Amino acid sequence: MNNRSLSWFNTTSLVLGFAFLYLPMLILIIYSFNSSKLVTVWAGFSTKWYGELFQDEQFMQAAWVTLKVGFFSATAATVLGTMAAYALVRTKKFTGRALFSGMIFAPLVMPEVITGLSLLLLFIAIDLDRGILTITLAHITFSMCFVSVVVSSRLTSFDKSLEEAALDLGCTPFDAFKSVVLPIIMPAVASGWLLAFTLSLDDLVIASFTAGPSSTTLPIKIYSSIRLGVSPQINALSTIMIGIVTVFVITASIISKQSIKKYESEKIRANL
Amino acid sequence: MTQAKQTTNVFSPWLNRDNKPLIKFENITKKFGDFTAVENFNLEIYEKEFFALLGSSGGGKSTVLRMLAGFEQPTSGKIWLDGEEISNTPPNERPINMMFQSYALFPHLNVWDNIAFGLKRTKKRMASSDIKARVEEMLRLTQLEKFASRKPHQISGGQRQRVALARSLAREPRLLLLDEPLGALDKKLRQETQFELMDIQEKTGTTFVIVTHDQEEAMTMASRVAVMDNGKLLQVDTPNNVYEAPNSTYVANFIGDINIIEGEAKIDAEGLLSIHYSETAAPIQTENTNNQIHDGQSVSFAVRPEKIWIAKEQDVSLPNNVKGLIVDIAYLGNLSIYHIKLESGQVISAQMTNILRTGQQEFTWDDEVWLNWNDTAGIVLTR
Repeated sequence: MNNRSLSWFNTTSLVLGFAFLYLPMLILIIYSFNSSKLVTVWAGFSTKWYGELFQDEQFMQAAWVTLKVGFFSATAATVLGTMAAYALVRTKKFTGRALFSGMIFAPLVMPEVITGLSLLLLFIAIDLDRGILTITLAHITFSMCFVSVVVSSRLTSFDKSLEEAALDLGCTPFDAFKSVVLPIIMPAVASGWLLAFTLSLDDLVIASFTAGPSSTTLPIKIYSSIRLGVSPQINALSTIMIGIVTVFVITASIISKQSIKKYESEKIRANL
Repeated sequence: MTQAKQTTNVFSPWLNRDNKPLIKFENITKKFGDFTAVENFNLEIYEKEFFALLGSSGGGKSTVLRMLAGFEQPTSGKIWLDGEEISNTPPNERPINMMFQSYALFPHLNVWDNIAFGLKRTKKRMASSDIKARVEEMLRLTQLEKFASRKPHQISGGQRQRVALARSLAREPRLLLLDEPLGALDKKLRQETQFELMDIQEKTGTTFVIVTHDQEEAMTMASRVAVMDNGKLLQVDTPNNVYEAPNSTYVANFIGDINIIEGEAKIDAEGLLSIHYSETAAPIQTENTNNQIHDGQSVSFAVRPEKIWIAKEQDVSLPNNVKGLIVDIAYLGNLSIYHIKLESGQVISAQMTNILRTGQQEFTWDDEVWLNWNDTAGIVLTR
């Protein structure tokens, strides 16, 4: 890489592109610190809306629901997604393997409305009361495939002889997975969890299909209060959510990048 | 080295019919789909042997090793260990350990924990003090005491190789499998490690089965060598016999350099064998060691380059003398290899040791020389 500065054209397109992406969020963040009740009029810096937000019982309730759903669905999706990835990458060819692996990844591109609707129909059919449980189940369904994509990309570069060595040294297949495979692929599993958690935190469509009256998540709460007019409280809440999601996504990408770097350098050293 | 070992301490359990083999392959066939990797394989390996499976890549030797380890199950046939059938026993229940070609050290564990890994998973739980003692013993054996707390990526390739060896020996296996154990090391280190391996094998008394494509490696270390090609076992014998008495042209070619001259066998009234390979040249006089050969059969005469004596003059004391022209010389330092074109058109390779340090080389390009060899120098092959 040389130190050549960006050309006039490149600078402009970069600025425009980033402005397009981040200007709306920036405005939202700025107005969350507005002291005026009117969203469109700037009346000086203040953090009072953040204070009010934490006083608001309904918002706190919704936040608590969201965190619970996020934690449990991310955990379950990580377990299931890792298992699915392991089965797909490791097992020898079996009939219908291509179909199975395609089906694991299909929800990635499935419109959320369809996923939400079909889950709703299923829950009604089996007579399951909608609430935290149903949102959690729905979130597991769609975030599991993201986890399995992340984990299976790590597993394909995993040296199979490590597992064989574990078996050779007296491990049962489960013990080999637990004491050798899992510790080595842990960074991918962790970033899968963070990804699933973030997805659950963000989801509005599927949650509104599967939520019950007692289980409003933050995105649903924000969406429904917007209908009554944008309040600075919502801006404050959205800013906090942007912060949380940013931290999670950055952490996930750092974890996976570092583990790839470490793995590569180990491979290079091993070949020296 | 190997020769000295054989004369001072005659280790040849395979010659005694009363000895029970440690490992026995009985009509083993292994297929992957339509591909037959190993075909009708029969072999016996005895306790304390250093046994080498030799062959080019794809010859089926790794499949044989993986069937011993338990990673592959034979399609048909049986594998016996100590008189017990183990054909379908899972790898974690076999008293067999393997040293992997890639070493397969656990990157998240340090050297100590890598060696202790198998000890923590024995059938009869080992006391932690016993594990500690055993790991320390292994570290001493492989001279790794200083590196016990290092991670695999913090040590050199040669040290990693020793960790892999220590880890696979720690459980005191009945049989140790080594898959191309020296493949990743450079030439100098490889030679040192060969002697180290032999030393460790002798100290621990463990039976070793090694897979290699390097014939020199197999010859140096092994008590017996099995040559494989296309999933079939071609010959099993001591390195000495495989080299001096190969049973086929493939084995002869695979191990070391050899000249092969095709011709027709003639057996005279006294039973003496001669091989006619050219209308103009005198037939080759050779010992008749193979009783299967009949008069008029087409055979291959195989003779190693070092058993041919190059001279300016015809040596009438030897039964075979052929005239030829030097077309190529390769100077290797300790010896020189000459390619000599015979009047009949064949090119024969002959070797001379460079015993004099100074002075002109005796022969040069386009010199007319005589090749002389005894009637015991070569071997007659029928396949």
